[in-house]
Amino acid sequence: MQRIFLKGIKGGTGCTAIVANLACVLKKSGVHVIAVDLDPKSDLGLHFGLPWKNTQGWSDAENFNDILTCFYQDSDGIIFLPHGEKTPSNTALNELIDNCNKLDNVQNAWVLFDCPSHIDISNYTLHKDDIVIELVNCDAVCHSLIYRRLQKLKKTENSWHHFFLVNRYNSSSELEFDLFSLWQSTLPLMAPFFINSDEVIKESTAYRNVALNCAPYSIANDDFETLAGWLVSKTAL
Amino acid sequence: MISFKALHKHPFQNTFRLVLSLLFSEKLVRLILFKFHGYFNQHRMNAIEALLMPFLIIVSSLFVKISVHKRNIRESISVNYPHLRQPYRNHPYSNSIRFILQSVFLTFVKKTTKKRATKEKISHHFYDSVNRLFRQFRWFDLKLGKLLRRILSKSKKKPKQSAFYSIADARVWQNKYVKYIVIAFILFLLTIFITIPFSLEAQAIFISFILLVAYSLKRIKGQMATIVMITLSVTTSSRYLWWRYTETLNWDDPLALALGAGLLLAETYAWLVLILGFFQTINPLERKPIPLPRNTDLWPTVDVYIPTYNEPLSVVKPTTLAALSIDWPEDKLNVYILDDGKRPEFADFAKEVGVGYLTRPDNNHAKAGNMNSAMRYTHGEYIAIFDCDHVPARSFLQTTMGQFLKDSKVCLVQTPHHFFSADPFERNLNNHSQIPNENMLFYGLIQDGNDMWDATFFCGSCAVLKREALDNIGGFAFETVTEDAHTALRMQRAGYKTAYINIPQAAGLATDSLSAHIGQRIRWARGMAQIFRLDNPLMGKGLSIPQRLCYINAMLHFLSGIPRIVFLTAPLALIYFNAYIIYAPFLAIFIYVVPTLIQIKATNSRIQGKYRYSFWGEVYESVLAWYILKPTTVALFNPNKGKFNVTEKGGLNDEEHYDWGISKPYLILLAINLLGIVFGVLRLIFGDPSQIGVLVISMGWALYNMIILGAAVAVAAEARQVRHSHRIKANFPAGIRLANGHTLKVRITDYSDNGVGIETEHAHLCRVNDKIELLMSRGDKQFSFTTHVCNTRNKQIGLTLKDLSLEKQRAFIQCTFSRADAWLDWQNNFRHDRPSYSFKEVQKTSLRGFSNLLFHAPRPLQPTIKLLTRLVMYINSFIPKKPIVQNNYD
Amino acid sequence: MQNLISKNPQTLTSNDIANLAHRFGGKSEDYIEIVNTQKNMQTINKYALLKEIDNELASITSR
Repeated sequence: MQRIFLKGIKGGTGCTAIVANLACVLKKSGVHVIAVDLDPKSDLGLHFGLPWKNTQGWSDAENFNDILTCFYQDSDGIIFLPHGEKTPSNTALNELIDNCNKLDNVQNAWVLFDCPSHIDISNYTLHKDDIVIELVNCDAVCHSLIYRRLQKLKKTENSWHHFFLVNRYNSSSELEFDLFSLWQSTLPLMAPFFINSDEVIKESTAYRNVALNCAPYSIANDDFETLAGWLVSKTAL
Repeated sequence: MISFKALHKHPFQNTFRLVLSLLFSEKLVRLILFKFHGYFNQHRMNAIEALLMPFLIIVSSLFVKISVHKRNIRESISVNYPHLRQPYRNHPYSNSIRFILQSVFLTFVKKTTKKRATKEKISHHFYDSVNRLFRQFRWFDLKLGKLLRRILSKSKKKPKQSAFYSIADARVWQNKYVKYIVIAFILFLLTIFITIPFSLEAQAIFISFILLVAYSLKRIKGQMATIVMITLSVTTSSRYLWWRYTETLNWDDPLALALGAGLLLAETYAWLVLILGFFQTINPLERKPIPLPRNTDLWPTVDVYIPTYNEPLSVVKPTTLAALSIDWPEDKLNVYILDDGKRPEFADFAKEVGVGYLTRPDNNHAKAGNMNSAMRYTHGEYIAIFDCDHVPARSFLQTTMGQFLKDSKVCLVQTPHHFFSADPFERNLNNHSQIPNENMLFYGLIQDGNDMWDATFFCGSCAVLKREALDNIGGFAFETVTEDAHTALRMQRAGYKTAYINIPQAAGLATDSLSAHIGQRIRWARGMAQIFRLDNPLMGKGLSIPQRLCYINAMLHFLSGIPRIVFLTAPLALIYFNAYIIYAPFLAIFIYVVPTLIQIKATNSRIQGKYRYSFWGEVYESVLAWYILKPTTVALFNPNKGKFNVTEKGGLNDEEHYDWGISKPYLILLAINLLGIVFGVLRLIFGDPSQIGVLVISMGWALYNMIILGAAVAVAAEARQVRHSHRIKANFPAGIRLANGHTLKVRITDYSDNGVGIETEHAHLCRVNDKIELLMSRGDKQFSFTTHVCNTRNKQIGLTLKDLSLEKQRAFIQCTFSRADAWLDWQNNFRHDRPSYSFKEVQKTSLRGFSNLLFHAPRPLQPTIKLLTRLVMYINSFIPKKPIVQNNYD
Repeated sequence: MQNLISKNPQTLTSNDIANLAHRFGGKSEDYIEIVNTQKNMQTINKYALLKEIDNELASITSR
């Protein structure tokens, strides 16, 4: 089993869409994927075509068995678990994360966790094989947040693999181009690629689908495949 | 029965009828008159025509079966007399002559069904026996092939070690005495084979055996088979030469002796070049790039020189920007423009972009002097040199510098000169990317072969030199006009080694026009001859024997002027002067000359097939022969005479024209060969029958010469250069972002200085003048360019980039011209040579040459030519032609 | 998963150095992409926030 935690370094970096598209790419290449929504906004389901009226999720369930009933499967075969309406405690959160190990067929699966940006990563109990991807946009605020994060990471003993990934990259913006050049060459934890800014990622949610299915000829498609391939190579290590 | 009324009305007709009835039967007379009325009234023919027509039909029915129905008559006529000019009535007289001739032809050549049956039976038997023979031959050939494969493919067990090395490194050589004994033995065997006089039959058997082996080796890949082919070629060619020297000189006839000696010397030259060529290219080294240490602090400093004289800034700009973008630590990379033209706009550009700008007070010794002067102001440990139009890839230094760090004796690393534009041959013959171009043989094969013997020499551009080595020999050599080769020679004499990396890491402009091309070659030829006189590689110390041989071969190559002219005119000696330059019976000539030529061509095709197609070498040589004749001869006698003429780059041919000035020599040679053939035909008809054999061979040779010269003539027709900025084919991925924020994956199919052609996977919806953001990468970095659509087709879009800032220009070059893999396909598009196919191509080109001559004839001559062609075609229309074959469904 | 692994993990937009290495031997990892330190300094100096962060980090490491 491989666990991947995706979190925005701040709100609004476009994390949930990444989770949905990544899940889709992995599924299409034959990997068993489970996506879990840890964000109280509970919007992961929208990307998978979950009917708007279904608001129940794991946070509403009493025990693990009830949680099992909250799983859905979308048309591509991705199994996902919406968050639900209640706001859980930290312990409940970690309990859920732990319990995911007990799911059927989980040994060969990839479990993607859509984490909210306001909860710090250190709140989760992570193991040494876990990969954490913090999504950033190319702007000055993220620059500052990245360095603060790096300082924190230096101080603590972290057992997980931590990476930064640029989302909504627009190379025609001078600031973005300059910043990314800087980050690419000075930050070892920065992923060597980026997810290009593409209107279709936004649009696809409106179509209740993911970018991969809406625009197979877009660059976004390539970007997600790159992301998936890169993750695969990281896990093989 | 004709009515009485009619009788009265037409008295003329009455008398006519009476006359007819004297000659023909009643029925026939009625038919004639009926037809006459029909033609006259219905078809409105005039009286004479209408009168003649029935007779024509009657007469032709004697020869050809014509049915009575009118439609079928017309059809039969058009089938059996297809060359009658339509409409028939407009050309009554000429058509009637044609008609008569064709009828005569048809009577004698007509196919009857009976004859056809026997003919078919005969041909059937013939084909059957040929097939059987073929099958036998093929069985034999397969057996022989299997046998050879078993013998020669033993080295399959060690595929990595080339056959050459496995022979050269075999343990049996370690013992010095064994080595000498084996070499002596081989030489002894060779001498026997070469000098033993065979009777004609024995020679025929010997040579056919060799040809058979060569043919079966055709299918076996691998170096071992090539080595066997080379050995066979050496044997047959040496044998041929021995035979020529000992048996074919006519000591009795002084004219034949003189001319024969001339031909013999030319053949000896060709033989020498052949043998040296085999030696040079027997094992191309194919050196691999060596990676550099990971710590860039250990990397040396490199100066990049871009010498320029009169080239426009637009040509130098991309080179400079690309040089700045080479992947090398910036504190260790210094780029300098060496401007002998001392132009202020260059100084401004250098300042703007941040490169050095060096000039000198004089212009002595051209490029070498320029670089020597620059060396006083720069201090890098290594010097990389690029001609001002050679744009380097970003990986240039990391691919080449490893050789220096591994072996401190290396003083030069050379890379291929690749052209992204068509050279004059390709442009004027319109075969860019279909046939390997002229310089591909040298950079693809010969330099790689030289590298094996440590004999790579400097070619003036796309190379890196060690500063220390240059300082040791006193800077760049300037005594000759090919200062590059001379510099390398000096460095090798001083004990340094050279290397060649056969990976194109820079590309530039080919010469613009045929005259510029020839000017460049004249300079190289003169320079090589100068080096031969001033610093002869055969003498002096510091060079190993293989190095000497390789340099000599390079020089000999430029002395091909006289031998080529001799070959182009040799057959005429027999035709015009009846001088037996090859004093041997026709059969002997046939058995000695033809198979040897075939064998040599086959071996050369095998060795050079990827880099040069058969017969094109002769065309290139013929084009240059006359022009390099004089400079090389002058330089051989007096090396210091002659001036340095700079090759122009970056000009524009704005209209199509024929370069009569340059093609004069070929036209003269063509004319005398043509006259020779005509003369030969006359001699065949009226002359001594005993000489028919040699006459036929000479005429065949003259015809071959005409084909080669025709191709040379074709090259002089300068095609129009439409584009100012060259468009380069490419194939790498990129992306576009449309105005609505959507992105699309695309492939770049071509690019130029300010435009890009892309191809989408899926029909796109872009229209002309749309603004599109083009996203291209350089390694892991993505650059964005604002572009406008200038044309579109279903899946293709042409984009233009306008008004790029300097920063963006630099980025654009990094993403296109400077890509590390930009030129890697330079050899891949060419299939291996097939001699017969290649010869057909040369023939086609030759015909094109002739038609060009006629098309571009100078004004006063044009009416004459038009008249002549029309006359020829008119006469041609009288010649009886075969009737159109019908479908017989019976 | 196989088709993802077989694709170059670094980038799918075929990397020119990878092509070079693929054709002529050698490993693309041996190639060193040069960092444009001058450009980086320019960027940091251009934006005051970046400069401040950089200064702060420099003083932390020097402590």
